[in-house]
Amino acid sequence: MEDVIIYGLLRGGIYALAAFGFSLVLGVIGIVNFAHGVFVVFGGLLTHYLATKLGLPYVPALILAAVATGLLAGLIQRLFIARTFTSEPLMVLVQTFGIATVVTELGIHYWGSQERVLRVETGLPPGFFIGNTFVPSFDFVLFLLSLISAGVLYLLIQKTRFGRAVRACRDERQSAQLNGINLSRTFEQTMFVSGAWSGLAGGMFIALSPLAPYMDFDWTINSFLVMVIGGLGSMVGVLVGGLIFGVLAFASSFYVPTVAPSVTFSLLLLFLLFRPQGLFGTGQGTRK
Amino acid sequence: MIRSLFDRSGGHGAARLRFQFAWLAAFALVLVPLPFILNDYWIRVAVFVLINIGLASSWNIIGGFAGYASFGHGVFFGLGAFVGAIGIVRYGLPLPVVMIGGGLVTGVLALIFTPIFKQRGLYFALSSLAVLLIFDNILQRWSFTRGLRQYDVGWSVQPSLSLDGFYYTFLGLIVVLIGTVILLAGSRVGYALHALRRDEVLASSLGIRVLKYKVIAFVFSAAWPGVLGAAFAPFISFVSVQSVLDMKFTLNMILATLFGGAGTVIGPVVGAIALSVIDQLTWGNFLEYHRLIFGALIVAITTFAPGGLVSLFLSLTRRAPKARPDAAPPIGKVKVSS
Repeated sequence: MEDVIIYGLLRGGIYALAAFGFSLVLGVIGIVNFAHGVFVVFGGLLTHYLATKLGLPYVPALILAAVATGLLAGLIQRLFIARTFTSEPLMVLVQTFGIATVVTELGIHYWGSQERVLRVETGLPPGFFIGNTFVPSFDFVLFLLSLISAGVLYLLIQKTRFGRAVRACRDERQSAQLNGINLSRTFEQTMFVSGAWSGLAGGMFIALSPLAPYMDFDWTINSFLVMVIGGLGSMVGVLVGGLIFGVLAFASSFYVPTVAPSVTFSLLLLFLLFRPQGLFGTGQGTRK
Repeated sequence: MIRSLFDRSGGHGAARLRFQFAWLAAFALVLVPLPFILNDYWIRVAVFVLINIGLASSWNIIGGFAGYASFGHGVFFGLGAFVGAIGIVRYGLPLPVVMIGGGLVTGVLALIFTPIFKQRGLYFALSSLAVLLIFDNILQRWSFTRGLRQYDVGWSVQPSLSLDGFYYTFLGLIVVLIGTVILLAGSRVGYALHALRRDEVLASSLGIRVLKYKVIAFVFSAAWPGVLGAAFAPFISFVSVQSVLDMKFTLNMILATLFGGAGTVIGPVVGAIALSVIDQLTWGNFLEYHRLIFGALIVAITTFAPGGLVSLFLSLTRRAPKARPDAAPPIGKVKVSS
């Protein structure tokens, strides 16, 4: 029991990191990005590529991959989503689904469809015990790293000029525009941030568990689930949602491995039915 | 007159209805002699096109008319196929009985999922997707449905009809299906759905019982895939979660409808035929890039022609009168879409 919770929490930080961007894009641009999982997988595989093929150390590879994923996301926003996001939300859903298909197919074409995992050599001691549970130190470092990245994102949104523009667009798009905020540029930057943090999540995840191009949709669903648990428009909510989801996903695959997806999706349905605003959601605008 | 076929708004009474049924009859008559012309391969392709037309037309009722994008609609087709397979193999039922059974099972199931209509838009889409994934998981694990576990081999169903027989079965089903869609679109239900798609709050304030019509639309659009799925089981002759609950069925419904034009009777038909042609061409010539081209096509349509082929047609025919020299000059930009 104790070990399940601890291992779940260790993964949960990464799930939260992947979901921040999803929640941000839904809140600010007002779209559900079905291509979101692609960013996670892309960031992970790019980290793997940079570390193994070009021999970069882990941390620079991680940062480089995250920035590249952010650029990809910004590009997708500028070329495609910017043209459609004001029309019916359904079209954007289908459009991002198409984008996800294209990027995934290109990924399979150039990287192959096999699952990859990155072994990172650290000089750290193997791990330590909490109670009777062995905690690998690398997993723990990644967990801390995910919390730090979440903190950086929080400061970015709350304390900077860019963050102010993002929050203004989220709360009142027209007034923001009247006050001289460039909407399309802010949206592109939002998408960049979303992609970068997702890429970071992917790069961290691939150091623990395998990733492959075909997994993008799972990550989209996971991010959505985390956001639904935590609540739209609340960073704390997403963080808590990520940790809860981590424990839940680990527990269900540990105790009932054959029906694990059903358990998580049933939970998603229950949350959507009975608490669509999530645990920390503000209630407003949750049913766009 | 031909424009009324493509129009998104409701009808103009009996004349319009007669006109649409005449078109439907002509469509059916053209397709009847096909098995005498084509070889077996192309008849199989034609059956798949018919199934795609049927699925897209069903999805169109909830997705196009009501404006609720169901992303789990493939589950009804898959369940129908399982009902067909289990009915035929385990209980030895004849095909018409399992077809009705398939429709009933999926229709009742859709009724049970009424609570997800508390959701709207994207939340509804994701809820229905969750339903699909849950059923996918259950059907794969439940011994009654012979999910594909190590020693289970799914359901092998003996085809009870010849290939031509299947072609005519599906042709008949599709004609009846489109007939019911035409009736529905011209009925009170059709008008109510049209109203609630435009503005649900306003519609309900005018006394339209929104939930009732949404449920009618959902059950209608779930029952037909069930019927088609049950007939699909002996046609494909092997039923497993992988073969009938694939995400591609859901995607095809959505894509064909949007490609042709959502919310019109003819849109899904045009879309399904057009997509099938593209599919065949890319499948035959660029097998390796098949999914890539398909995905790129989706992106292209949604980005540059978000109204589909039908709206393209509409905007072309609507632009024509503007060229008249005596017409008043347009002021500003005229909005074409409804």
